[in-house]
Amino acid sequence: MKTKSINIIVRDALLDNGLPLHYYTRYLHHALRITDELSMDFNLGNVKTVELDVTSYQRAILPADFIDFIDVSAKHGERLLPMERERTLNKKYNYDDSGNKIPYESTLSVNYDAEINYNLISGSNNMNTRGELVGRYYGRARAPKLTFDIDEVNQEIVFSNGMILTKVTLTYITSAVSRSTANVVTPYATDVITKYIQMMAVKAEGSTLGKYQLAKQEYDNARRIFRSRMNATDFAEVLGSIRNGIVGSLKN
Amino acid sequence: MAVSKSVLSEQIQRLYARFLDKDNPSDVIDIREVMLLVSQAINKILKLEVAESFKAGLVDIPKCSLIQYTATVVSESANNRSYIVLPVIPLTLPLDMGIWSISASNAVMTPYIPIPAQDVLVFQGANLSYLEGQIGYYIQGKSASGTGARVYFTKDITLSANGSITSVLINILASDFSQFTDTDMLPISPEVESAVIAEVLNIISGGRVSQAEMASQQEGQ
Repeated sequence: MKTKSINIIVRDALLDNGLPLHYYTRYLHHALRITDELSMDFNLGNVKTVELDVTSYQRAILPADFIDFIDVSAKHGERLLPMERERTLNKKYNYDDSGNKIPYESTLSVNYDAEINYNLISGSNNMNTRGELVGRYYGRARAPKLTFDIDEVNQEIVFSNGMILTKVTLTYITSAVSRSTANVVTPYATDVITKYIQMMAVKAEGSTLGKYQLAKQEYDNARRIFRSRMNATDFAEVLGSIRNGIVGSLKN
Repeated sequence: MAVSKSVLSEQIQRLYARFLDKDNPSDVIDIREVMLLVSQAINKILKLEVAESFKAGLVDIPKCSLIQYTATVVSESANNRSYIVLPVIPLTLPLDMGIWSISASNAVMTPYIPIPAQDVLVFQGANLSYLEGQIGYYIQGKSASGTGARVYFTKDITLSANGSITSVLINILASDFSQFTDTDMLPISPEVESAVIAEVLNIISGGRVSQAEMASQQEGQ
């Protein structure tokens, strides 16, 4: 896959302005700042997927480079089915008499297959075990039981006590900027990074407000173009989206 | 037209003698004094030239005034870095541009990354400190026990992992006259010559008056 190194983007920006290598570190600083910032909204190679073990006390330990989750999923054949976040889960540890961490008592019995069928695939529990709607469909009453929440303090994922999976798949965001390998980005990001460098250089040299505003306008425009390139949608996706809305319903 | 230090100095000496008494010029100022002043004036004018280009929004230095030295690299393994001793003090320019470039002898087109001395302590721990895997350098003042100002590299470049470099080429902007005999061509551009003459004459004539000025003063009385 073709990428562009931050080093080359910075050198190009120096050439644009006719500056010698003595400005390299300052320009590189700006480039790394904006790369880090863009990676919070766009996948610049900083979205990772890992499989985590569920501990005996119904938790999973977050990776050290975790910033935020995209989804926590259960494996189902070749697909990953996103679990639902339940913010009311108790994130305080529960201990037994010996001081060992244990899960909270479950008040619900969960059948994993039924849960997958009812809640993750169909999004409803108004079906029988053969996947047939059972009537009494008074609104979408979901009762998901494979749920999780993020415990930021202990850097763990907390699962509902009835969750019987031993492994879950976490997709998460980490920083795009590495301090151990040379950074590269998609060629789409070249212009927005360059324009940010120019804007910050204008700001740092104490130029007039007009010059700064012009540089900022160019940066804003470059960012808009970058956003639209990164979020391109093709015909098949639009069609798929429309077809997803066509579902079977009860015959009245 | 390139000139030598002695040619410039002798011209100044003659001009100064005529300035004092055009009818009876003589060697009233020691040529060694003039040569020293020429050296100092060149450095001053070079700096002004660069400063003027900065003001105009350009970043340029007179490349013909760069002098290339070879410096031996010394390892400082305790701090995982290495250094060289500057052979001459460069002109003081923004972002330490007096040191124009430093490169390994076998990689002159891929110079090390210059880091402004004021930035180097600030960026420790920041993403910038990795320098995208490249090796940087920065100037640090003279060590109390050492000789001459030092330039430190961000890694120990004497190690095999960093190229096993034992000596580097360093291009410095400074008219280091120890490198030139009196009859060597000076590394200055032709347009600087007249400015050097005017500058030295201005210094040595300070506080003195020419015979013509003295005569007019006497007439006035």
